[in-house]
Amino acid sequence: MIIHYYYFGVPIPSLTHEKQAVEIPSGTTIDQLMKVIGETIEDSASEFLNKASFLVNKMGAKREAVLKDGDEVVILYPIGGG
Amino acid sequence: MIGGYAGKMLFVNLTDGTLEEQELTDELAENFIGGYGIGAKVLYERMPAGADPLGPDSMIGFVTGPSNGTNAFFGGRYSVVHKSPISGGWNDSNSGGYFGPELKKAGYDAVFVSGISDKPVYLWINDGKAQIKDATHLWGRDTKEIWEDLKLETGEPKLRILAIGRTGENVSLLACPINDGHRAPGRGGSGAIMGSKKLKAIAVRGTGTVPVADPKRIQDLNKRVGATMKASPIGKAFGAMGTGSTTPASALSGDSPVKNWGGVGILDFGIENVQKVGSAEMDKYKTRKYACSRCPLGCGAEYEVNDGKYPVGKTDRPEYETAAAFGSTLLNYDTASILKCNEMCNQYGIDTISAGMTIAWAMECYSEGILTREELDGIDLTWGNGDAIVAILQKMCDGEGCGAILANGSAYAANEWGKGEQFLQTASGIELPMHDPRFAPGLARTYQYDPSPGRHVKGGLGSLQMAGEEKQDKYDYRGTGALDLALTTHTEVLNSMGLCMFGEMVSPPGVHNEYIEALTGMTFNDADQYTTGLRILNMRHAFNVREGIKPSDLTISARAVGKPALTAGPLAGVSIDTDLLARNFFESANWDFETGKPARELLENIGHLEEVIKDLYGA
Ligand code: SF4
Repeated sequence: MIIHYYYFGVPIPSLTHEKQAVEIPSGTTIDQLMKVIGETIEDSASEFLNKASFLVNKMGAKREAVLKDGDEVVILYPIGGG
Repeated sequence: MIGGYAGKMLFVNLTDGTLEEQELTDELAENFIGGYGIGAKVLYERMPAGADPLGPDSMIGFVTGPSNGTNAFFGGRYSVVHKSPISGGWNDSNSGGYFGPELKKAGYDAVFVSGISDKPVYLWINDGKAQIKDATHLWGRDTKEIWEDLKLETGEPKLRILAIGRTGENVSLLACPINDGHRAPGRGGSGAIMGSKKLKAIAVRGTGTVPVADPKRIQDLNKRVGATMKASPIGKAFGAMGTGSTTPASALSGDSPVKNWGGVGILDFGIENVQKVGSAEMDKYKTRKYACSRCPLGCGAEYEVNDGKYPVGKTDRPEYETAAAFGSTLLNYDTASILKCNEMCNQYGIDTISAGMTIAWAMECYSEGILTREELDGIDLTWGNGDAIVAILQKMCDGEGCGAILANGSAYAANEWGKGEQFLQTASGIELPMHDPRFAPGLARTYQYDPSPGRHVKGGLGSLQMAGEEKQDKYDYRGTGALDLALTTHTEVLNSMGLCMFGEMVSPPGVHNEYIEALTGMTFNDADQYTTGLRILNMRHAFNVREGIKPSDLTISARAVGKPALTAGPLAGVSIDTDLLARNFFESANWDFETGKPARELLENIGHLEEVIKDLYGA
């Protein structure tokens, strides 16, 4: 199935706020999707994916949530700054 | 004197024009560290309970920490302390830049000002010599102009300055001083206090050195911090794009409030608009980056804006709080207007958070038909109307028409106009900052019950949750007190040292205890940090208890804690059990939840709080 995702947060090379697509097996959870994406980025940045929060189709979602074809995932890792 | 201190405090009385120096004792330094720690101790002792914050007995302190003026990395922040004319209780606010370190190098750890001058004055501190000077000719100058004026007047091109602009001169409650042209101890009304005293500015020149116990160890610590910072993606992000690097993410995650805390970022603001409030978009105007004193990171940047409808020229990159307050909170993605508002706040000296939030309140009142266009002097203050935001802010800065009311804040305006109270988003009258407790629920306790209400820089559970580092489900409110308290005490010490919190995010854990040891020569372990942090927290809290403020007097707006809960977006359904969070904290802190009083045995165990014990429990 095809999932679309965006990333907003601490800048990570190769992750962008532009819409990206990835093909993953059906039944994949957000947590598993993060592992797939984590393999494409540098180690020190992949820790952010462990602390990130998520929106799926504009609603908040937990890491355990199972994705379905066509879902839009927004990956968010802001840092509290002043 | 132990290392890390100049060893002197300056007390200025503007009513009779006297200046008095007093030794900073080792006992005071060791037990209250600096910044608002020392500030709370001094104000508690020297300012009478019940004093009118804008009256002659009111005292305002500008207090450095032991890291200021030394080689320690991230040691550029000083605190401003006073009783807030908004909340009526304790207030501290801190600021970076170069003013604090310069004051230390000029020979003073702190300056405390009381009394009221009969004409505008400024304080000129030049290498250990302090004078009160006439500022009649400087009244009306903005915070940048006066810096240039005083360089010429004193013949010291390298002086540093903290000054109020016209908003402070008007004694508007949202006014704050600005140092170095763009850094602000913004929150709680310190600019109004300066204005009430007719204290236009403090100008400082210092060429001395601050003695430290172990300079070599400080260098070694700096090397360690520099190495972890370089490897840290947060360090890279803040170094390249400042605190605005993640403003878009915050607008979507629910971290930033949207539409006066009633909206949802991804629905109301839109994924296509969020980038316009972040540094990635605004940095096209960047001409150079800059840093506070001894900061290897440098989250600040200078901009040159010469195009568009607000060509403000040389200006500064808006901080996260500013971009959110004038952006997502107002549904405003008109970048030019955000840059203009940021510049106006710096020039006139007004707290960006409270100014943006006060406009958000007025916008909601206007959209709901509670405030009329006539009451807003003809301004069509609709959501997202960047030009209307600039126009209303200009009125606030000038203190004209409706701006004369709004410049005192949203709670004051609701009271003055007798309407709109249901749309206030405040803690004890002070507008909430730009991190939403529904996203990081620990902030609900901090905003409502910290002795300085409505602050995002006070540590506690919320700081962990904002970073996504909490171990427990953040919406499970059981047993939160001990961790909340421990994290708060940690931040009490960090802030009092004069260190920047962003430095801590990129440093090895626990390194600031080592900095204290290297600076002062005393031993300082985790247990010392906890006890010292508790002492500072209890000193600030005792100031409020002595003022007669009880926990039930401390308020937070219901919407901000999910009452009622949002029905859509990432925070849908979140409603915070603020009572349980607060009771957990009070129980761990050993504070009575009815009276607010800290237990006598707690105060005795912490030590060095004799005057508090005497006031609260008798001899
Ligand atoms: S990180 Fe930013 S605010 Fe902190 S000391 Fe450095 S320049 Fe100043």
